[in-house]
Amino acid sequence: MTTREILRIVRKMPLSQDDQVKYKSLYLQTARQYVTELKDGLNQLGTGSGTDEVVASLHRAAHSLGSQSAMMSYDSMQMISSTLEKIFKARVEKKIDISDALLANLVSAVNEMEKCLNSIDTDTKEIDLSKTVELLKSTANIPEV
Amino acid sequence: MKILLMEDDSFFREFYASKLQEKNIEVEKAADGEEGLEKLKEFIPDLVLLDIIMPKKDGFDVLKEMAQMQLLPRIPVLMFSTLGQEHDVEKARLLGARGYVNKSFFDLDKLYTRIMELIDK
Repeated sequence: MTTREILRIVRKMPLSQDDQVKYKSLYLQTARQYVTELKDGLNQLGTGSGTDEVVASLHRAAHSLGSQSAMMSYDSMQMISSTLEKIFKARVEKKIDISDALLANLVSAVNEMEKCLNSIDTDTKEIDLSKTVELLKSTANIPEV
Repeated sequence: MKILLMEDDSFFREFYASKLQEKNIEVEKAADGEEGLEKLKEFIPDLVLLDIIMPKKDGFDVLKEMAQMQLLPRIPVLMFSTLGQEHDVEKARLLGARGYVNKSFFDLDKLYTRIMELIDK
């Protein structure tokens, strides 16, 4: 069973339609802040100035974005955020290094997340990010991702 | 009834504060563990809703300092967790937390019941 399937079962009570509408703008506002944090942090990693604190911030941003996306039932955003969170957690725990290839895919993934948020904003629906998630998983190459 | 909500994510902070206020619960908000601990020096809430992953001081740091301040078990602490944090929740229990709710699966009545159970004990 995939994480997405588990989520659908566990999520017994999604937000009401009224709350979905009411809190969508707050979601988009905070989600975009997290995307900016992710971009800034990855940029620092790319320039070699990424400290452990930068990676910890990336982990927190991915975790928070995944949690609020789950609450709003934005499954693509939740799945990709969760994948990023696991990668950054593995890096925090010194289980992996962020290779150039993985960094490039992380940057690409965050750009896709930004597009997805724009799609939620304008079309009220997500774009499919499953291929991006799979690419991240294969590049990160850690068992729990 | 007054609750201290320590949550760094402004989406969850504002959402849950608004929903709890619908139940006539007064909510004081803190954006990280450090700010939350400062607020605990100013007033004693009936319950603390505590996120785990936060900047400056995380949920575990807060529990440890609350114990040092002799606020545990006097103030019940309910952890705000998400899917996949089972290990963290157990760690929080060992540090004095009384339970947890999964913040991504919103159920106001269930949360309210849980809060009342802990406050009544």
